[in-house]
Amino acid sequence: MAKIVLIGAGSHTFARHLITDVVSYPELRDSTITLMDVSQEPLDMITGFANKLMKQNKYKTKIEATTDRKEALEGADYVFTTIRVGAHNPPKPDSPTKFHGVELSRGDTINAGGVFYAARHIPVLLDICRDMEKLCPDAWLLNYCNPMAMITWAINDYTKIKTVGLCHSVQSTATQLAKYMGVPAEEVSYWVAGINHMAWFLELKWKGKDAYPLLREKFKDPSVYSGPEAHWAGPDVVRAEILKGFGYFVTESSMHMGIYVPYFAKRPDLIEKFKLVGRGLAGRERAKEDEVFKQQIDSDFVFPTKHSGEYGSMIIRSMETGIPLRINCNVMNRGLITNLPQGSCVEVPCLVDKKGVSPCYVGDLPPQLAALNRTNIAVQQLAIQGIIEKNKTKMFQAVLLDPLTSAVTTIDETRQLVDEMFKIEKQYTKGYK
Amino acid sequence: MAKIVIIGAGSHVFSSRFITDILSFPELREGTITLMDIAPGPLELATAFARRLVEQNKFNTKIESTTDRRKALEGADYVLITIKVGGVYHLDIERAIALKYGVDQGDMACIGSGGAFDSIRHVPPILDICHDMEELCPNALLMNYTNPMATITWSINDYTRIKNVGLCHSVYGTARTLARYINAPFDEVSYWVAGLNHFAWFLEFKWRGEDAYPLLREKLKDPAVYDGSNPRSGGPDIVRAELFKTFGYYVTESSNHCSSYTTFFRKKEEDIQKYRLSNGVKYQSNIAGNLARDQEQDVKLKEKLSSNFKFPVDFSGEYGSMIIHSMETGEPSVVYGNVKNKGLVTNLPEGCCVEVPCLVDKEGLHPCYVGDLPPQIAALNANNVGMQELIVRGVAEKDKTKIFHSVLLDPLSAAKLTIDETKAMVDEMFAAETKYVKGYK
Repeated sequence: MAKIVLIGAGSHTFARHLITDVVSYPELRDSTITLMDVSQEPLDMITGFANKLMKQNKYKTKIEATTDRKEALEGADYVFTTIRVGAHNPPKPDSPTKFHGVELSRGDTINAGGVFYAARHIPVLLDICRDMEKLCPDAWLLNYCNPMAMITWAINDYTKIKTVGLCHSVQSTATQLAKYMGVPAEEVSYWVAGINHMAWFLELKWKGKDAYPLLREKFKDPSVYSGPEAHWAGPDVVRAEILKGFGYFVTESSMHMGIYVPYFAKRPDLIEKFKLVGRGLAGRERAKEDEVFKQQIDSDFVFPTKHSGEYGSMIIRSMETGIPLRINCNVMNRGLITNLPQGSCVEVPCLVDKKGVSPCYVGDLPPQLAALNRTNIAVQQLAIQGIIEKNKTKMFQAVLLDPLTSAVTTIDETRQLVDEMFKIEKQYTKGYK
Repeated sequence: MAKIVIIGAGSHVFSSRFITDILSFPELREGTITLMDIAPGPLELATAFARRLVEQNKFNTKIESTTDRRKALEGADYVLITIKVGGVYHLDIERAIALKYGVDQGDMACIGSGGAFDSIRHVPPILDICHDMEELCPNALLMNYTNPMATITWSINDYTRIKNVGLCHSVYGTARTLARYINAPFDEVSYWVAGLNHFAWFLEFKWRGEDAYPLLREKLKDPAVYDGSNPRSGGPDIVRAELFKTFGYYVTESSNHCSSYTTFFRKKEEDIQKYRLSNGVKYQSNIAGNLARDQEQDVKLKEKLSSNFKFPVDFSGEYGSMIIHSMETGEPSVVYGNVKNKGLVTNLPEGCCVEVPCLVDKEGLHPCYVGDLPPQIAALNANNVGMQELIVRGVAEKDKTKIFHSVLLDPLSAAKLTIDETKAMVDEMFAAETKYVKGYK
């Protein structure tokens, strides 16, 4: 009889999956699913979907909808957050955040883009947690918002709420690797650890045997990974280069990984060479998707009831039933990865059962991988402190420590970049000194 | 009566200072100083100096001299190392190749590909010395002055049982510079410094017990104080002033060294000029100058020895003799030493090599707990620790891939090169450096 709350339910791609996934488990069909969004229209749409799905399948699951966050959170057991604060405005060619031909305002993880993305999201997530401390202090917060590491870290350091950060990059990379190797995904197993968007396949196995030799063999033919259709985000050249250079495959797409390290995106010719101008960064056609979804709800279209593979519902099921599950979650590093800073946010394999989410010990990462992770953790740490203290100097220092940015700019140029970011994000950085 | 051994005593500029320092303490004049070098010529010169100093002052100090390392180490209490493998040419090969790839790290002694290959040259002979010590003087304290300090100290700690400390003059040297910047007498300033060798931070800098950072900030508003335009202030120190203004703390070691430890200052030739740094070409072409300087120093010392010149017995401030003095007499002293990070700097990796304040007394050298560094400067340090760790493992395992990884993690190389270019550069260095890389796979 769990109460499952979705904050930001208007992001309907995610919400549809979660709702479908939850009711795909017979043992969870007596739950209450509470949909909450600040915008009435997207909320009505997803509520329409949920009600129709229950009716079509004669499920007894209770569907609630509200624009009042406090009402939604009251007595919740599981709270999902999939919010997005602030619109994404792609930078123009004469952008003031472009230096030496490289646009430096991008990113949802680190870089100046990620640091200010965190400035928009962390205060809202902390507000949700404050509400939870009053209204459902024992509930689990299952967060899907980026920047995942910074948000998870901030929640752990500044609230009492139990939380894990969830991302699909580990399992989708595993599926992708199976595809590259030409083997069935269900025969592939792995052990992955690091930080969100930069976690490492420490082990990659096919039928229980080390599959790295096979992957390296396949990658001798660059067409396997460098074509426009190689990966959903476009060519996967950067990750192949990282595998060759550092010896391990990394979890987030080449488009992302390319801007977490200095090797690929620091000059226009290299951005071209490593195929970092692709559709990965293009905006989706949201309006068209909405239109199709609305028609499906209003017609006699039958929505499928198949599980999407997303972790959210699996976690609830394991916590409710005690059936053990292993997934990678973002949690605080308390002796888990021994050569990454204590108290930072790491993505490690976790056991989920009735006890909740229990992270597994990983030990030392190979030193070259730990070193790359640490460069990103440093940015996160300064950014979190900057955001909590509304401290412009720490925000500036966070961007100064960013590996890509510092490969492109001098200290003075970074100061200009950060000043520009504060102008762009004026609405969300009030009170910063 | 302590036996003090100097390995590499032929570097007489250094060894004569150290010998003088020891003899400046009356309590240490009864001991034995054993000078050892593999080169008989320079060894003879240093020995002649030591004997003259003892004679002139009628000390009872026993001076021994040998080219046999094992003989020198037998029964030693303190062993001081100051060796340089490859002499003045030792970084030429790497520097030329790095410059070709567009990576200009200036002197490149402790960082990037230069640091990696200098470690390849220096770590094995120093570990050999330690293994001799394990046999011949297992309880002696090793004081190392050889660079690259951090990778050498880390290797000694991880691969031998010898008690040791890495010593460098950059902390008190910088304290002197800062005292000069604020016009304070050196003996009135005090400080608390921690971080990495050549990359440690003045966490506190005080004048007469009061925080002197506000005054320093005020003084540094006038660029003439640090940009080299006023010769009384010293050479250009723009990089450190910039780091101070940006990150909030003053760093040890000169602007030229420090400029290659981060990405901010040497990415482009115009930046190198702007910050008034020496470029790699200048270091490359200065080798003849260095040789001439060394020869000139030899000639000067020989002239003094063949005359009645009275050598002064003044203490230089170098830590080595202070450590021996405190351990022999129990009179406590504070030195900055490079030691294994066992919970000392809590936000740098455990087990790496950190430079922290150490109390010295009869019981030996005791590193002090520092705690967390401010996160922005710990982050800058951590980048270098990543590189050092791979160098240490690469040298121990003779593993080319780990050496390649270390250069991949060097901030400046990474800011300039792609992964493939880094690989090509390191491969080229391995091919060029035939003598010291035998057995690397």
